[in-house]
Amino acid sequence: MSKLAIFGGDPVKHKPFPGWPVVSKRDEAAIERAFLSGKLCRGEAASALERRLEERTGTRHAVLVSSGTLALELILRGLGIGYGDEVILPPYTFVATLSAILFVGATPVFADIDTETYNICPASAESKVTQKTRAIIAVAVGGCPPSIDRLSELASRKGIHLIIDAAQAIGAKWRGVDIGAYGTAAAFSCQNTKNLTSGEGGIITTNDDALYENIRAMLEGRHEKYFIESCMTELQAAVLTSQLEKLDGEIVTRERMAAYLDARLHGLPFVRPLMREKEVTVNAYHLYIMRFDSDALTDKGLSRDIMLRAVAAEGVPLSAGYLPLYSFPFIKTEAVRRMIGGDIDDSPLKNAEKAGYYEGAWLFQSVLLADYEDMDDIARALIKVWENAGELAARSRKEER
Amino acid sequence: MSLELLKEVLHSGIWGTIGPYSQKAAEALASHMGAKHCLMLYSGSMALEIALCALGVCQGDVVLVPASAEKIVRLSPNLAGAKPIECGGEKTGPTDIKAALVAEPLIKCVVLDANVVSGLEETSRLLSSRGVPLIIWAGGQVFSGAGRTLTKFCDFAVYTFSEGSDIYAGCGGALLTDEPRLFHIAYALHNCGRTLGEEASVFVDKAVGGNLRITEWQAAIIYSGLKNQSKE
Repeated sequence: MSKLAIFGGDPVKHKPFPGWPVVSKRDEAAIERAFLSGKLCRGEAASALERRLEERTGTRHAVLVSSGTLALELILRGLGIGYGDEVILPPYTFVATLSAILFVGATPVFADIDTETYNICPASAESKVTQKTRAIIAVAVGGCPPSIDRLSELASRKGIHLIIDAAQAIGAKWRGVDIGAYGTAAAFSCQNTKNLTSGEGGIITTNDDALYENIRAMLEGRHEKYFIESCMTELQAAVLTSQLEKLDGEIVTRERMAAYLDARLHGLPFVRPLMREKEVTVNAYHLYIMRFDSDALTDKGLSRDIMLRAVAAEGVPLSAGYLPLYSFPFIKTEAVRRMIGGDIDDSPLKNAEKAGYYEGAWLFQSVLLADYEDMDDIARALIKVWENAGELAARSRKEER
Repeated sequence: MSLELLKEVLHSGIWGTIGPYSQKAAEALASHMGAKHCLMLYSGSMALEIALCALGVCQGDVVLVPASAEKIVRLSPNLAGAKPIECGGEKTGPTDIKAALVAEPLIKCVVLDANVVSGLEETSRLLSSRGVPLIIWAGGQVFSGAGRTLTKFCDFAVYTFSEGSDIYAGCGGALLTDEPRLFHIAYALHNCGRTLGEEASVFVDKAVGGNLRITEWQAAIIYSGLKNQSKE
């Protein structure tokens, strides 16, 4: 048994994982072309990319905007959702899903997540529907599509909108169809860490002509109520177009490496990858999410966070994921109360608590652009830490005292 | 100069999320305008929205705007859930504001357009004495017109870098203020609730905020424009 790196031993991994974003000569040429065109907004690069994204996602409309958060906000405003309306969302997501709802003045209502997938649980979402509910925002956490069939059926039966927060899910597919084609609309993010990036940026896809027209009107100053300057600049569109060339190849690599890592983790008594529903034909893997078994860890006197520190010391950048959004102190502030004209229900939800505080752990997407040997190192680091559980627990107890 | 900076941005791999050029552009603009704080945003309309939210404007509030202001100014209160009330004619001056304050005593905030305002100093004194915050939209007048030193008269001065502006970055906005408290609130509001120094965290639990950040592409162009002007 080798000494843990956290106690001064030799780490499993010495070589760093691939960085992000990956830059090529093609990107440089794209930037130069866009800049020299002199038209830095509403030009050819953006409109050509929109047409290409429509084709790629199989939707009638794609709109390039400034961020994934703004994409969600524009969808909500475009559907007329605002003050007095309720929008259901999962608590296990980035804060942007919540802030988009707050910025339009609607009331967020949290539904629990599925313990196996960490995506919104359709049964929990259904239990939260009231007369005031206008939409469910289903997040594709880590890039893996949520239960689209059940959520679509629920939304249709209740006469509410299903909005897909696909911020992390560019290229993901459900039943062979791009995730952007589901629901009333979908919102993607092109922020700096995302699998398709232009630094900041967002994409809206929809088959709803009226919604599309509303969004365009808001962006172009033709709307009677809102003028939102949020069109994506030509420089961003040019970089995205160039980066798009390599997206499909990277998706294949990420899926291949994730499958290999799944197999390497198979059978370990303390950790396992998230489940993927059988209808998920492509997982975009913005994150590789694994679940620690909190009972197994407790039996050894360990916690997820102690494990994460020890694994990180072995050279594997495994991090704790989201904390449940309802636990964030700001949702109880007077500022938020005034924004929505009331309180947000912050009752704890069992599966979100478990994922957020005790079990969830992530690897970032660029880790999956490494090779098989790197995946072996990830598994080796986890196993090494587990094999040293006794010493790790003893030292942690001592430190706590 | 801009193209070289854009290539530098490309190869740095930092294309957004408040990189070095966002900070350099903010510092250069604050210095050029004689303001204490500057926040760069994705667009002028977003700068207006953040200014209103930072001043606590929200659902049900009434905001005064000039009738002859640009549409972006006249509609801006809607973004914060507030109701815009128009006043003034071709130009809006202290008499118009005074009359509006009598007609609508619950006015939460005033947004003026620097291009259609008269008697700014007097208006500023009037609003200050009534405790009503003031936002001034300077449009694209970074080097020309009434753009400079506006923060002396208001809580926030707002600039745009869209087509027709003194510096054209495709899109872009800036929020200037002399009030550190307002700057910190606006910063969190535009950066997903992160306070200064929390840029890398995914746990954003202290303040509410959306993503209205400027890109490094836009910021590099604006920084280059400001530097070129200062050389001239």
